[in-house]
Amino acid sequence: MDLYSLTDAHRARFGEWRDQWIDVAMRTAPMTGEERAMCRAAVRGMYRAAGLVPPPDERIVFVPSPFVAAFAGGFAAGWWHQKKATTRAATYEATREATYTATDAATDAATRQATDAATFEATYAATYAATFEATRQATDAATLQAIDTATREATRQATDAATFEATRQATDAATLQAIDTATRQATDAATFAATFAATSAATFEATGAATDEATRQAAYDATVEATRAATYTATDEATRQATWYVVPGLARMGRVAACFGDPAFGLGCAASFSRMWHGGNQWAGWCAYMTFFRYVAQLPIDYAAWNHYEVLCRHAGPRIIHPDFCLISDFPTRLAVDDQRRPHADDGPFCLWRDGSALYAVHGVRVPAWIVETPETITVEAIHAEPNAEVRRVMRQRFGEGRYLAATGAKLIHMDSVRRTPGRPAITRALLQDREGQRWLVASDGSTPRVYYMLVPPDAATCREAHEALCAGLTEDRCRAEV
Amino acid sequence: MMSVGEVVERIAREAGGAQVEPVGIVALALGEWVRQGDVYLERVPDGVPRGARRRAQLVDGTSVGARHVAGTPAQVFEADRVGGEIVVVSAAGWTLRHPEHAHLALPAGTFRVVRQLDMQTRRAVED
Repeated sequence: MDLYSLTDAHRARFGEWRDQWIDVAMRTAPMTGEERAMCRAAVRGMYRAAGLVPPPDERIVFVPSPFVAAFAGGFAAGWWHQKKATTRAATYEATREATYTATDAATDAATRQATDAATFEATYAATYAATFEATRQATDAATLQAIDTATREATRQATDAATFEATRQATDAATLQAIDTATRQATDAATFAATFAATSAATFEATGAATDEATRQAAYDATVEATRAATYTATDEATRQATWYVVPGLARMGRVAACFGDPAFGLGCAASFSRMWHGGNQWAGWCAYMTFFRYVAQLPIDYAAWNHYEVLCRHAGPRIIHPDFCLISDFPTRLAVDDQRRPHADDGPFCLWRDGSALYAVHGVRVPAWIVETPETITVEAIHAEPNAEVRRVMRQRFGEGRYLAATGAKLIHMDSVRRTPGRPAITRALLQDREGQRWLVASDGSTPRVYYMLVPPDAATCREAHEALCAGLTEDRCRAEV
Repeated sequence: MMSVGEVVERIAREAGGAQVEPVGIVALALGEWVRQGDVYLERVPDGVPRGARRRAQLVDGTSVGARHVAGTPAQVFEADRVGGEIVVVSAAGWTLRHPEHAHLALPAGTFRVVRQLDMQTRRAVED
């Protein structure tokens, strides 16, 4: 027996409901203060509905972009995990005051310099209480490692020698030396991962500027083989996304991770951010479905628990849900799609957040920023080096198919001259084979100044065969070309 | 034997001299077709299966402006099945308009709309 059937009146509202939730998904206006208050309440309600104790308000943090949420969430989650797994050191009381003073200043300064403000604030807010507690356990080796990692690079310039010396004096020198070696490896792994992720020229330059080139090179040879696999695994997801996800300060994420614990572990947690991910308005499709039955069909269901999720979907972007904190992203400032609602922009990012992080896509194909922003820098070598076939296709189009075919030594298979548009002069067509064995029919249509490069079956031997293969059974002998 | 570069240059040069004046069609026998860019119109027998009436634009394009629009008195119908083709029916002469391609003046009759296949995406060519 059917418990429920759609009525015609329900069906009549499909379009309205669809458009309403598409608007939610495509929103580019920032969250308002009122909405943030609503979302805080909804987060508390959602945790309670799930039988969890909600995080305190100061750990329900609003961030400018999903990127900040993902990384800060990963670092914070890693930190919380380590905190809960660590027992207090026996020497806590003996070193507490000196270490606290030194490490608090060092960590604070280093973190502020090593990351952009948004990421810092988000991570800081989510972990501050725990960080404070952790710094009190200053004799713990892990903490010392984090301190040294943070201090050695950015903090060394920002803090005075006395601070560093006080930290050294508060700890065992021999231990410090051992940890320093380990820290150098860990730091290099993080730096390498960030550098590897930043594939665009601009980001690479930023990475170079943000890191100590001499130190990185010196440490590279000794540590790269040992750290490559671990680093790659830990950052695989982030790296993969970073090829098309432009993030100011991405190169500094390794340092941010170091500020809050083991950098490789922190990056690994960040790479697994999806395990804590709720899509917010990006999952509007599900909410459209659920709310249709709530408000239109009015199913007799208690929606009290669901309501919190609905509020967050309607009024906020993606979020990180963790037992100890919640990070909520704002909406993007730009979101462009093509007529099939695929991510698309030819002139810049299709999605841009207010912190400058951005995504690029051409008709649904995610591409690195430089392909869109500086297509004049596309080279044949870069096209050949691109492993993704769809991205390679976009690169060829933006490079120019004709230019590409000529530059790569394509072979001329066949050429003819035909009249295929009524009342127009005959046009030249050519069948070319590129270096990959693909065959292309090259022609204009006689009524626009465009030249079309059409991929055709590899067994097409003539221009006619190639053309007919694209025309769903039409044959050229039935073409009406004369008025 | 021309080089690939010379061939591409020649095709581009010819394209640069494209003409956009409207084109008139005197007659189109059953089975014959004409082309406007990547859209082909094949004359088919009257009464072929067709779906519901739809808007006059034959292709939902990605660029700005209405593309491949059937002018009155032609009427445009959805395909009668998934994977089928749009059908244009006109009781009198009509014009297929496009903001960039030359307009085509067509005779009365029924026409099957065939879209060129884009083998890179395995879909009909986007306009």
